[in-house]
Amino acid sequence: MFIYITKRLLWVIPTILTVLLILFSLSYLLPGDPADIILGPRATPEMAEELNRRLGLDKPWYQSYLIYLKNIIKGDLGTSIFRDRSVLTVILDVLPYTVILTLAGMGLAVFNGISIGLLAANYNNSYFEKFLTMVSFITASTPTYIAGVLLIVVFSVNFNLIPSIGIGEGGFLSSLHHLIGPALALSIGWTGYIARLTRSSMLETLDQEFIQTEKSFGIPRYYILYKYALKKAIKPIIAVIGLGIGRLLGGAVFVEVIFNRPGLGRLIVNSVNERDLPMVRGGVLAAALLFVIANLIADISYAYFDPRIKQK
Amino acid sequence: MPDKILKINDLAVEYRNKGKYLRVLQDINLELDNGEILALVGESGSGKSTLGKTILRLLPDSARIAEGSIFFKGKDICNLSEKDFNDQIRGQEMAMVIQNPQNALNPVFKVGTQILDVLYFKSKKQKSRKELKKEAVEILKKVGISDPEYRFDEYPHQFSGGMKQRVMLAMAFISNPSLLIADEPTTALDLTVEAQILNLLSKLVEEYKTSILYISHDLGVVAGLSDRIAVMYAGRIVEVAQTKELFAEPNHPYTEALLKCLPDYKKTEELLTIPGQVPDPGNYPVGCNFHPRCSYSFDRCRKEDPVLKEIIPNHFSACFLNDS
Repeated sequence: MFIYITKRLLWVIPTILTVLLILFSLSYLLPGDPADIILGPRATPEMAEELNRRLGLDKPWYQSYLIYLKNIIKGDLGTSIFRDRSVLTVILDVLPYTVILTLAGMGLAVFNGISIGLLAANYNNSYFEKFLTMVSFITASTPTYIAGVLLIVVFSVNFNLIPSIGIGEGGFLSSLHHLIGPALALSIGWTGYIARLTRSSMLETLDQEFIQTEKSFGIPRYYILYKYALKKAIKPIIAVIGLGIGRLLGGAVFVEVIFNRPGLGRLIVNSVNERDLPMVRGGVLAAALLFVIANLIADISYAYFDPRIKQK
Repeated sequence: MPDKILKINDLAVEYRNKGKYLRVLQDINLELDNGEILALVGESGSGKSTLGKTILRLLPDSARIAEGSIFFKGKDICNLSEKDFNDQIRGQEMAMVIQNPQNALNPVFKVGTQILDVLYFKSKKQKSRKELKKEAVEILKKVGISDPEYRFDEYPHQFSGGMKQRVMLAMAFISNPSLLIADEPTTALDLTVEAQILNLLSKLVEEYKTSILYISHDLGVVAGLSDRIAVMYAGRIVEVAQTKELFAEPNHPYTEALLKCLPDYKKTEELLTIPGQVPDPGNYPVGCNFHPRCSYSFDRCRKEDPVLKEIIPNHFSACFLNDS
C-alpha cells in the first residue's frame, strides 16, 4: 500500500513539470510580442524593455524557464500586471470559493447520481427504471448555464427561495444559502452521467457469478446490492468523480459568472481577456495542481475499493 | 423407507425469449433420499445447471417454472415468497457451490468477511460477527486451509483455485445444509487438485450427513462419488439408476454413448465422441430428443415422446427400445 501511494505521488512530479513547461511556453507561443499586446500601441521601447525584463523574456528561453521554476519553488508566481498584487494572493483569495463550490456540486452529483443509478439497477426493466433513465438523460444533457439560469428564474425570481447572486455576507448559514443555487446548477450534468454509469456498472456486477454464490448462501438482496455489488461496481464511478472534480475546479466559469461568485475559473477567463500573462499562468497552474490532487485522491481510494491494485 | 429430502414432480422450466417462452426443462421427475449423493450428468446444454438453479431459485427474471412442483422435506417450496425462501431455504437448508472458483468469491472483500456474512445471516443476525469468527476459523481448518487466522484477512486473489474451492466448500458446509447443490465444483481445477477437493467433499458429506445433487459432465468423476446417477439430455431426464448398475448395464442409448466416450488411459485408441450436438431449446426435434444422434432410432422415436419408466426396480429409462 505504501509503495503504491509513493509511486502515485512520484508520478505527480513529471505531470506538474510538463504543465509548467506548457504554461511557460505560452509567452513564446502566443502570436505577437507579449509586451506590445499588454502595453498597447502607445508604449515606449523603455516600457517594453522593462516589461520583458519583468516577464523574463530578455534572456534565452531555457534560462528564463529555470528562473520561472526557481521562483515557483519559492512560492513566487509573479505579479499581476493589472492588479498590481502578487498572483499568489489573488489566487488564494478566490480559491476557497472554488473549492467549496466544486466539492458541494460534485457531492450533490455523487449522492443523487449514485442513488438514481442504484434504484435503476435494482428496478431494472421496469417502468420506474425507464423513468429514471429519462431523468438521467435529461440532466446529463442540460448545460450548466441553462441549469443555472433556470434555477434563478424558478427558485429566485418566482419563489424567492434562494439568492440569485453573490456569496453571502459572512456567516456560515448565509454562505450555505448562497451556495445552493450554484452547487445545484453545477451538479446537474454530472448527476445524470454518474447515474448512468452507476446503473451499468451495477448491472454488470450483478451478473457475475459471485453474486449468485452470495445469493445461494442466503445473503439478503439488499445486503448483496449495497455491500457486495456496490463496492465492486464503484471503481469506474470513482474515476469519473476524480476527473469531474478536476474539471470543475478550473471550469465552473459559467456558474461563477451567472451567480456572480468569485472563483478560479472566472479569474482565469478574465486574465486571458486582459492578457495578464502571469495571472493566467498562475491560475492555470493552480487549476492543474487541484486536478492532479483530485485524481491522486481518486487513485489512492482505488486501492481501498480494489485490493488487487495494492500489489501492482 | 428413508425420507425423501427432495422430490421434483413433472417440472418444466421456460425462458422468455423475444416474447415467446422456450421450454428448457420438461417432465423432470427426480427424488433424492436423505444423505444420498445423486449425480446429474449430461453434455453441456442439457439443462443440468438450469435444474440446479431452479431448485435454489437462482434463475434470471426471464425464466419461470411453467409446470410441476418441488417438494423439499415434504414442503412445496415453489409457493414460498421470495423473502421466506431466502430466510428459510437458502443458506439454511440448501447451499450451492458453483463451477468456477475464480469468480465465486467477491474480489473486493476479504475472504473472512464473506464467510462471516454467511454465518451472520445463517444465525438470523442473532450472533455478533466476533462470536462467529471462531466457528469460521474452525471450518477453514477443517477444509484444509493452513493458518486460517492469517488467511482470514486475505483477499480472494491471494488464494489459488483449489484454495478458493475449499473456501467455497467451507462456506457451503458452514450453514450445515441438508442439501448441497454442487454445480461442477471441480471442472475448473487441475486433476490432482480435483481429486483433493473430491476427497474433501466426501469427508464433509460423511461428517455433516448432507445430501448432494452433484452436477457434472464427467461420468468418471461421479463414478466414485455418487450413489445414483441421473442422465439428462436436452432438458429431460433420460435415465436414472444406481451408479454401479448404470455403469454395468446402461439402458438408454445416450447413456451407453456417454460411457463409450470415457477415455481409458491404458488404451491408446482415438477418443470416441457422440456425433452431432445437443439441440438448442426451441429446436428440439419431434419425438425423442435424442433420435437424430441415436444409432438405434426407429420410426416411433421420430413421432412420440418417450416417458421415463421403471424398467427394472429402481432403474428408470426413457426409451422405446424397452417397449419392443
